[in-house]
Amino acid sequence: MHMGIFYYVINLGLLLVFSFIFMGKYWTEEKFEQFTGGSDKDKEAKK
Amino acid sequence: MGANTVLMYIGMAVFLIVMLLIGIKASKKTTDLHSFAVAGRSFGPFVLAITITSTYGSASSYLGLGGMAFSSGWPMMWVWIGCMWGIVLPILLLGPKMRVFSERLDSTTMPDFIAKRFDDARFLRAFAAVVTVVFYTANIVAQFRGVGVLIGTAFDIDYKLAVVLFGLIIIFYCAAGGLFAVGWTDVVQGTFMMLIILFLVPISINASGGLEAMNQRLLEIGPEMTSIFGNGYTPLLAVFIVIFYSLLQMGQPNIGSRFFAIKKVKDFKKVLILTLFGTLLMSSVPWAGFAARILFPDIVADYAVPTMIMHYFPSVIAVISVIAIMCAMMTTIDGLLHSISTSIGLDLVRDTFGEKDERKVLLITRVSTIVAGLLAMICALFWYPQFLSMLVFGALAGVGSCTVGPILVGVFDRKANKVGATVGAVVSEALFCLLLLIFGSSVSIFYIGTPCMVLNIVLTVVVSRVAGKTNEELVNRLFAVKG
Repeated sequence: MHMGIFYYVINLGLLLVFSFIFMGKYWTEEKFEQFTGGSDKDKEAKK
Repeated sequence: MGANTVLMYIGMAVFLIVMLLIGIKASKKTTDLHSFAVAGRSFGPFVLAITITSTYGSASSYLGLGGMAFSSGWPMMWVWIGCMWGIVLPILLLGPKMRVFSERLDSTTMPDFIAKRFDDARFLRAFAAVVTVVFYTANIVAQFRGVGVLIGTAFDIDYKLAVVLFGLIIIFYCAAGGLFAVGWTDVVQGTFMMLIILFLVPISINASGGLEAMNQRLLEIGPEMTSIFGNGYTPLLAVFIVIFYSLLQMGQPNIGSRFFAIKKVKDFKKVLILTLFGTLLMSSVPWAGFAARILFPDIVADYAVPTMIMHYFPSVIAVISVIAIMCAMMTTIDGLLHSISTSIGLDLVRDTFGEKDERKVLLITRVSTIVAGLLAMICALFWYPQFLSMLVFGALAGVGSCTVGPILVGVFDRKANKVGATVGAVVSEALFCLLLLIFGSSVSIFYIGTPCMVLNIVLTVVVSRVAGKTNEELVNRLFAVKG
């Protein structure tokens, strides 16, 4: 197999799939809200 | 003097004036230690993404890795596989947690973050700070040499003059504006770095006669030039490379301090996507190395990218390209210098030796920037011992061997404690230095750095479970809600 295919298709594909699954599971609005204790919303309100 | 040379001088002069103006503007916003160290935690996602990406990419991304592509062909992309995962994993796994923990702990540097996470581990703070100062200074010497050689060659000026001119400008804006200046200059410099790649890939493919012809001509040089393994890249080395880079950035103070500086935690989503895109762009530099191997097979490998630029780029783009490669060095130098100065001023002078006066500490931090920068500059001018290149090559691994365990385990494992983190950091760092002394450059840094970083993580977990106590109040405060 050509390394170009391995890099741009398989590696990048796995990286994107992993990233989006992780973000979808752990980086939701509710979890960020809980985790930060509402500090993000405070900053938005100040703005 | 030709028109191209005049254009280059004008372009470089404008660029340097912009850097100085940014330094002056940033100095007005840098009024206390908090603004110097973490830019008042005010960075938006775009600034953060570009400063992470541009700090990540140094001279080696353009010169060294271009040279590796020239020598080894496509199998060298294992390095970029490692780098891609190595930039994504720290943001995904550590970014939001470190940002929130650092605010709760009121920490502004990585050594300080480690110390406060582990119940005010004063020895660990001082140890991590000293390791950062020693290894990062060695790294800056090499980056200064790169600046001198590149600018000296491109503009036909004396190497020493080039080092002094650029060195003084970088030192000025780092000392004056702290992380504000580092972040803002990184935006300008990072834009140049990305811009060049938009031209580099199509021009390289076109110069080689198209994609198919490029592939065919690489195969004629050797069948391993396009394969997954070969030309020294064995499956074992590939595994070590990917683990090495995946762990390396998790413990780097120059990347971690960026996480502390973001304004809103939820912006890490945008940071991740922008950083991924930027790193993907940078990983296209080897295309110029492949093309240079076909078109200029007899040149020195490290000159692959500059050779392609000089021969195939229109003059205006060639000017931008030289500035872009120099920017890659400058973004690395300013990030390293900022980590060194905050380690000296905040971690050592304030927190280890007990200086309480904030204004005095800020002054000392600024002076540390100047002294460390000048020291590295003088080393680059007059002193270049044989072992330094080896030390520089392992500089990031040297810091990672000390910090990756306490950081990674510290944000995930409630049971991790001061004894585990200290034993992990000291034993792994000692092993790293020992292996470096024994094997030197005869063994790949991937075989030296990877086991030390893994050992650091394992020791931090295991020793924490058999010795020492966890500060339950601290852990409950940090892990109050799962992230």
